[in-house]
Amino acid sequence: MVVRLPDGSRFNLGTENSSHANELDQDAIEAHDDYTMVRGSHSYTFGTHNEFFKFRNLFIQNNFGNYDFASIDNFAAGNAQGFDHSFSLTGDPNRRRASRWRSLASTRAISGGSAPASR
Amino acid sequence: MAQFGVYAGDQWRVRPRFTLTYGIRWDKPHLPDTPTANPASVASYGFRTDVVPSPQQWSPRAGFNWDLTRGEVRQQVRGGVGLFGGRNPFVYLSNQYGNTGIEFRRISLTFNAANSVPFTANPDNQPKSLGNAGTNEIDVVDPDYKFPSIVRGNLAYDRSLPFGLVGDVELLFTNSVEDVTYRNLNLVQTSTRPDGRPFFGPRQSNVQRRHPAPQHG
Repeated sequence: MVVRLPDGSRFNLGTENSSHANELDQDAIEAHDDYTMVRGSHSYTFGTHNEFFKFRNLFIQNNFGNYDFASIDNFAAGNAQGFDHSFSLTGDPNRRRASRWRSLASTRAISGGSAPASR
Repeated sequence: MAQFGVYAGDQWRVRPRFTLTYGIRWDKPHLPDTPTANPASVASYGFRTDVVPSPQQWSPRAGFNWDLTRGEVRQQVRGGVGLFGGRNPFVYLSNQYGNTGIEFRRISLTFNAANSVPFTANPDNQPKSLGNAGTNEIDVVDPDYKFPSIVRGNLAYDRSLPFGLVGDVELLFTNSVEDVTYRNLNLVQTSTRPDGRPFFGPRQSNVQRRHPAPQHG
């Protein structure tokens, strides 16, 4: 949450808003084989490279709610002037913390820009 | 998911001092899981959320090495050209799995001094509605999506120098074959400016777009 002061400065309190619900489990198996065959002046190579992944990623920004208070007085009174909350609609309490898909690379579930294009 | 790759190549010593190397590689991802279908995405944007592309890639490559060593001076000319893809950035596809518009909802009340939202301490019982402020995010990938790839070639001359050094002159060129672009599907081109620039505006849609939330309290 944020508390704003008259001079324009801001205090950020509590958990960082992308960490409320953020989990990544992954398994990776790799199978690779090369076969090389020399025939006269030729050196042939045949090969295969395969990767098998299993990903489970959860990312719900502001899942515990994120409040923005205009002043310390409003903060003390529990009266916020801004609010963000993202939440699961699947109804399954266990899935509140686990998005349904589990097959792909990391994702972000809600809010903000696209996930970083890390390789 | 799985990523399969098969390749074949040949290093052919055409002459004692001239070697030709060539081959081809085939890569194909396999995505067994399907994201949730969201009919509203088809109705509004024409994209299905439950169709994920898994394009194959062909990567032919060829190169040569010509040994021009004479006496004490070791030198060679080498070069090559080919299609390259690198490791596939699956993160581009994964956003579609996490953001079908079905699994999550977001409420957002932009800061305004006139707002008044009562603070709820219990993190598991946060407000899920602020009037009509709920939105969803939908991420989709074009069914014709291709993984990024480039064509790259080089031509080089190497020569041995005194003190064990090697001098090298190399020409490299790289050009994108397939690349990634992002589009905000809520925006469509509404006109063209006199200087030719496309001008974008909100899409008319029967699905509520992301917009400033109504005032609360």
